[in-house]
Amino acid sequence: MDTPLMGKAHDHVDAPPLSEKFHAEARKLIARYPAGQERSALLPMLYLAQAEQGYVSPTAMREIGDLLGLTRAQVGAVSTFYTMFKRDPQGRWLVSVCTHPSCTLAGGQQLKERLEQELGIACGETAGDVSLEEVECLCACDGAPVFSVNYENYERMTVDDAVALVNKLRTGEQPPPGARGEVPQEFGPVNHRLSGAEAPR
Amino acid sequence: MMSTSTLQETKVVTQRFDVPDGARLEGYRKTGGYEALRKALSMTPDEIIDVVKTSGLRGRGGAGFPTGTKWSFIPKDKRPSYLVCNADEGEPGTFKDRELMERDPHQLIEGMAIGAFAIGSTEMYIFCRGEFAYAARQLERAAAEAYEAGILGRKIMGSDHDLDLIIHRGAGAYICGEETALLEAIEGRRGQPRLRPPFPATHGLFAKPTVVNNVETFACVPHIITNGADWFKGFGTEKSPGTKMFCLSGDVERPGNYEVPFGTPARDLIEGFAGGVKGGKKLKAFTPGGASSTQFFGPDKLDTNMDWESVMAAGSLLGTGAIIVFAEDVCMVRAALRYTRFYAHESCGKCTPCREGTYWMVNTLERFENGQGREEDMAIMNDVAGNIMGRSFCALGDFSVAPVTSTIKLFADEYRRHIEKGGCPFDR
Repeated sequence: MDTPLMGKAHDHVDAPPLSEKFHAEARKLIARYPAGQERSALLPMLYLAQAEQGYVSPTAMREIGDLLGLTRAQVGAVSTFYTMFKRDPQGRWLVSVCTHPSCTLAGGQQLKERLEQELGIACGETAGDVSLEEVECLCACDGAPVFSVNYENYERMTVDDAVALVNKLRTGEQPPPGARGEVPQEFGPVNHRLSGAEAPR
Repeated sequence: MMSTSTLQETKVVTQRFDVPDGARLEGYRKTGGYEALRKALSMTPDEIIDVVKTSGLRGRGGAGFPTGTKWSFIPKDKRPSYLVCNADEGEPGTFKDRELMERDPHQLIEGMAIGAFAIGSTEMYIFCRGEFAYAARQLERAAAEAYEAGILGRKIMGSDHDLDLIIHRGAGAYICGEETALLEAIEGRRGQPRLRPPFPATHGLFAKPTVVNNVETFACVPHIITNGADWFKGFGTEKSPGTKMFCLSGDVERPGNYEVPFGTPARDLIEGFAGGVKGGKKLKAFTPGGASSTQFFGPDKLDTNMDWESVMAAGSLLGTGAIIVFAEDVCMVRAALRYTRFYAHESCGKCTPCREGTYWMVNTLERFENGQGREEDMAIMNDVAGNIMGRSFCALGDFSVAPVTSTIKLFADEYRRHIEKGGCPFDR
């Protein structure tokens, strides 16, 4: 029974099987690691599945377990340990707000509360295209307050400007370039990149 | 207070931050990049280890273990061996490794390549924090350039040495900055620390001999090979040679990374480089080494020299060199609560004292913020802290008590004002 590993907000009409593309890329990821160490591809494969389905579904956990010779409990134990693997389908844009002291001294807590209000959701929930979460220190404290959209940082923005940016994401607009001058990709492609499938080796 | 005009950074690992294309191979090579690796490949592995040992380089990830000594532990007759870079920067207030990867990724790859050659490893891993999207892209771009140029791959730079690099992404777990938890994560498991011994030097990644070093540590290596051990020892103190990136954040005018010789007084960093407390306010407290310092420091500790031995003598730990500054109007109970929530969230759950203790400390701190704190709660929290300290597997448990115990020690009056007022008396 899948219940214990399910996300909190879903009846979970279970996700469809993972695609041929997933399986082809998964085989390549497994081949990167030494013989007998196939399990090293587990975190990369969870990202790959999340890239395809927007979260780590029970179906994905079963299939990945079958590929690596792991039980569903073993895969579930790993995927639920790490915060970047999501148990519920995410929106196109995952907004992560840091509320650590360096950020909160610069308005981080206020930003989190304003975003919850504007979006009408609590952290950990999704409203349309936008998922919201509170995160631990993003280690960019010189840019406080820091929040990220699909892990692309936005730094030193006023709370009002930050709220305006997230409101634009809700209405279907693309995000502007982040603090490093690059525009965030959508949640799927970002997770594909996280899997390492696009790395040089 | 020092005048800012007399202050100058000593840029070693940050020297290319101002080179416009320093993050690309061409710009890196134009400024001497990969010449240290070329030199290292003409040395014997033992010679390289000797230079690093003699330089006195100590790990920049928090523990300060001598790097050359760590490398010398790798048995020469056991292959394969692995070289792993801990790029899972997560210590609150720290942002040096991220900037090193974003702005000079080749420097990291070069330092690792030298280390790999020294320990006879042909397989390197960078375990890069999942949330570091831009840093990872910079690393991937740099690695692709290095493969293309024959700096990685088969017979690197015309030598007989093969070298591969795998960039493996974390997935959101502070504990993976602990080196054995990091190895567990690469092996596809929950990031929970391993029992030691055996140490990674003999049974590390895939149970093979493994060296794990921090990003900033590897970044120092090319400069030591190029300029020699004596040059490196010319910076800093006898026990803490070299320069260090200090991360200044919180209530300061100019937050940022500043690279200075070890032994630079905290006052120079806070009042000088970082421009002092924001808005002309008075300093209430600062962390000398990130949230995982053992003690917050008050203004009386501003003249502490920032090196391992002086910070320890003053009663705290240098850690990662993250200096978070709190102005006079900040609630230290609230700060302690936020840090303790962090440890409660990041506790891997393996050891009961850490898992349960952090939860109860959070609950108790929340009582103070909500106006239900009692005088005896301070003693209760100290008791809980005493039952975590030294009773859990890794350092996370030990560090988790510091925000609570040190605020009770330094700011007991603030806890009492919460009790008297029936809530938090501060605005921030």
